[in-house]
Amino acid sequence: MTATDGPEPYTGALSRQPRNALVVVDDPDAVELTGPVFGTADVTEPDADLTRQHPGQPLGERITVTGRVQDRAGRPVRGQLVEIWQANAAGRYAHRRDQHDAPLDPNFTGAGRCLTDEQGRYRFTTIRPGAYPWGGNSRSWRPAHIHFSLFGTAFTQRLVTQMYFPGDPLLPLDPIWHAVRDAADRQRLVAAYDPELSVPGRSLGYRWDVVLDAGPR
Amino acid sequence: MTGRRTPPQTIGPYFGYALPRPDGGRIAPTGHPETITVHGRVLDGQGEPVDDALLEFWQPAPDGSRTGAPGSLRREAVGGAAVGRDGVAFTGFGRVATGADGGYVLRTLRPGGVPYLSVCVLARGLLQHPSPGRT
Ligand SMILES: [Fe+2]
Repeated sequence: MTATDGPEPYTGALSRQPRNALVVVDDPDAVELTGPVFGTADVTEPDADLTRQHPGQPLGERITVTGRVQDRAGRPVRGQLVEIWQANAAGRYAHRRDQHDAPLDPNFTGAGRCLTDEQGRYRFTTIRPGAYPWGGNSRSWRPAHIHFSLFGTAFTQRLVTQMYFPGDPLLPLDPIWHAVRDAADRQRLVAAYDPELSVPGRSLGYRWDVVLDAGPR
Repeated sequence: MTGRRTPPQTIGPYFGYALPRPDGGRIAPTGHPETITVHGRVLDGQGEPVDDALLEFWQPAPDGSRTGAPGSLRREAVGGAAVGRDGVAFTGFGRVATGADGGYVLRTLRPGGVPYLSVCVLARGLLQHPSPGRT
């Protein structure tokens, strides 16, 4: 653990937190050492391009987000499902509980999915999401982020997390980013700008690699 | 040599238009005579219903196989609409969002070889790695 000068970390509602310590399951026959599989029936090709899901182009800065999914031993996670969801360029989710008074974009839903390839790579085209206020405190804004959901080959590798953008001035103030207490671990949630990944004249490239757990010992 | 894993973060309140899919809780093939219904509610520590949880289930097929099958989250190939399951394949995977009363319903077949279903509970404010538990 690293001491930080950051904000009070988000802990979630107390009523939703476990009261007992987590139990480590150490069963070599556990069903969770395997996991669900997905295929071409579950994902269509346009699902990975969030800028082409409507008749017109969404507003905002078009980006390409790509990276490798691997396990802790460095093995690529192949053919597995990656799902994302995010706010539009104005910081508004296409979700009926989002009360943020920013415009919806008729050309942007903000949900995407793809399967990792033989090298464990995923790739999305989308727009950079906007910041949005939260927590009832109008001065507290979430930094731009994309929600990610990933599956490994074992159900224990299931991961839901958030990807952030480098250099965002809201990051050092964000209680949710600081819910990850270790400073080096927090940086693992921040993508890198990589012009090599930019599509010339079309999108800015960001690289974000993901390491899934290895499952029960 | 092992690296550190990418840390988890809260799923937040807005996954509803991205993750749940039609027929998510209907693992059993359509009309299968041995279909079982597993149902219940997700409650918080004060007994209040959790209306924004997502439950995921993973299990062996009745014959004990653990390979699973694609097709839990099917989309129509041309138009891209979420069309639900084909009602034939047993995928072993279910995904159900809770309702306003915290309730969920899963229709499946008994797992072969083990007396449990693996469950992953995701909800706003849960910060731990979504470690699967068992029912
Ligand atoms: Fe968010």
